[in-house]
Amino acid sequence: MHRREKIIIGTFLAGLLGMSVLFASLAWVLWRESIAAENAYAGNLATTLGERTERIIADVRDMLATFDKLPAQRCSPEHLDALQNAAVSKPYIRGIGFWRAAQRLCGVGFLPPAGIKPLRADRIYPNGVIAWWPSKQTEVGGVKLFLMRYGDHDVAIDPSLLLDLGPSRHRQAVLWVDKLRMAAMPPDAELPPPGAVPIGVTLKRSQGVIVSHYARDEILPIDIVASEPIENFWSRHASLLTLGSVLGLLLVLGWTDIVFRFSRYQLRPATELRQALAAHRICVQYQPVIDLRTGACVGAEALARWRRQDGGSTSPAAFIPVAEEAGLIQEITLTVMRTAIRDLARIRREARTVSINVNLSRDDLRNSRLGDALAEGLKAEQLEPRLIKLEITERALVNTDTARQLIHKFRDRGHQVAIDDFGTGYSSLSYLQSFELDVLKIDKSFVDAIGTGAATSQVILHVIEMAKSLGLQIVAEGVETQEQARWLVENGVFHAQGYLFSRPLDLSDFIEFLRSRHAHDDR
Amino acid sequence: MTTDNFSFGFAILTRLVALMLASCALVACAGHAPTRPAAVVPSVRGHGSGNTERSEAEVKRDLAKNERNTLSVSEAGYYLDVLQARLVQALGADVKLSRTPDRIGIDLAHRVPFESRGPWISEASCRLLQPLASALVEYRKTAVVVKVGANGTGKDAERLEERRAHAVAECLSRFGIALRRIVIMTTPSAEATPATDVADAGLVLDVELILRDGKSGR
Repeated sequence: MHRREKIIIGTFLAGLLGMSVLFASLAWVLWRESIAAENAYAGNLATTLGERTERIIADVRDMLATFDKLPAQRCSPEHLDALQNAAVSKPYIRGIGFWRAAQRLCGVGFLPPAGIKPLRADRIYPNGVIAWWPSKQTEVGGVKLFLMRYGDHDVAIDPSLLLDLGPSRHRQAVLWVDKLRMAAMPPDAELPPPGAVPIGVTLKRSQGVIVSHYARDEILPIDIVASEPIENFWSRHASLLTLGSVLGLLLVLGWTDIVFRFSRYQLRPATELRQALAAHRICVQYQPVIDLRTGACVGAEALARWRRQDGGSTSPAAFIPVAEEAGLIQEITLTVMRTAIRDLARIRREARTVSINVNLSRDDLRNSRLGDALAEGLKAEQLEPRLIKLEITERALVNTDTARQLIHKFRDRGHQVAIDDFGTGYSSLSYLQSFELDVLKIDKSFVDAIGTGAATSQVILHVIEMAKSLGLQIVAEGVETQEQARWLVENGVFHAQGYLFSRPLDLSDFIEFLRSRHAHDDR
Repeated sequence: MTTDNFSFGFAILTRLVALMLASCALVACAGHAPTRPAAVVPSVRGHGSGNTERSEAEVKRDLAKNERNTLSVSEAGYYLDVLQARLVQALGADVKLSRTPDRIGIDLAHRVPFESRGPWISEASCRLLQPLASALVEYRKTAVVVKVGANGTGKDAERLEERRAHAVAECLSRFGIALRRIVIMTTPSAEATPATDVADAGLVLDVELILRDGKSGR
């Protein structure tokens, strides 16, 4: 699988994975938050009902204590008014009675005149309040009442009115006292008994309800089991879920953007080239330079080659401009140069006079980094500088002091400097004269025109003349036919390179080429 | 003045003298502190013998003769519940109560001290019984059994118990409890040992329901 395909598939998978993870994380967080909120809410429903019930019982207990202190004569209109006012102020009170011992003397509300006398009290509080839980014995008009008595007064409470479920019609609640079902709202509410529901909140997905259970035994042994449909859950958390979805979408968009930016970056040729450099996939091939008079190989031009992971290669014409644009060209030059120096040691074992030409770019002439590295490399390998020739394209030959100084320094060290691809730019004789050069390499386009009768076929003669007038050695590039070779010799060009002699070769092949050439010479 | 007139005058005079004497006696009694055993005594029965049970039953039967003073068995639970709560209200949450289906025992030991060297209780101690007595006045369908311990055996101890119980009964009656509702229970004398005359002898009041037809939850 090619790298590009890998990146595209990887990008797709990363995007998909990221989206899944983000959505899953968000959903999980939202779910947890919602459940926590629901726990608090649903827990509050049962707790609210339970605490309200306890508060009512405590209020009634306190209220009863005040009745015995009323100054009015018992069963007088003033006394009954006071009782009536108390009953009206608390809607859950069904009646208040005044007793002497076990005889009800008067009262208000909807209770039998003789009052209710259950067989046994369920709780007698330390302050002397007695409570009877709702039971058959306290039933009046089909309602089992709570009874409380303190001193000479008692109060009857309708327990169903303790379960105020608010506006929701879908909620249910059942009040249990001493594990006995006392009241339900609505009256036919079907909820599990307290023993069957854990205290707190239980989410019963299969039944689509949230069940809460409140249990306490302080003022009275109370259990409240409440439920509500789970649909309410979604409606209640709609805003949170919407917010979460929007946030999730934004996160996913952000993630996708990051992934695709990274992918695009990865797919950029410059990135690929950078990775190729790091992975030492920029290799060097050598195109022999031949002495046309003797046929001997006198040198070679080191050419960068980008070997891809899939076995293919990218032409320098494709990646050199990318490298120049990405600022990687100097790295490539250094790579080629170091490889050439390393290979030169082996090459010299076959032919001691063979030199290697290394191409420099415009960036290489902007600082001394390359020159310094070159000097160090040669020193390390104990090679003479003359064995490395430096080629600068006509377009790269910028007329700056730095470039000029660098070229001067190269030549001072013993390197020959060649102008490459001459004729593709617009250099004039005077321009060339301003540089210290040793060799001129005629571009292939001029060599191709030799013997064709084309207009450009005459230009090469002027180039040759110019080079000669400047005292430069001449090398013809791209020689492919014997006719071209012969013509060049006839016109005073004695060095050439091109497919006529050899394609660019790997080091081993180049060494083999050298051997064959020397053997040929020996013959 | 005729003989009839004389007889009438004499009769008036004797009644006035009797009234004066009675008044003097009452004033003397009322002004005397601490309280001494009353001249009108409640039923006194020995404690712990078969005869005692019968006698207590007799007292309750006497009380039950008045229908208004009795309870049906079905009312007993409610009556005792509200009475218990009333006692808690009157005596405080720390009062020691024991309960059976027709009786509430009130342990007043250390709450109502006796005079250390006499069979009576002080006015202050008597007043401590007022809230309790007020509650019991209201709950009149009960008999009040007074039990006093003297930390000793023998005639002396029994006599001390009885006199102290009388003092308690007298005190309760002053706050409105009819003496006929009060039963004093004493421990029958065994071998003679000197009574230890301690001030905080045990005092227990049993408030027993008077049930119709002599029924009892016991």
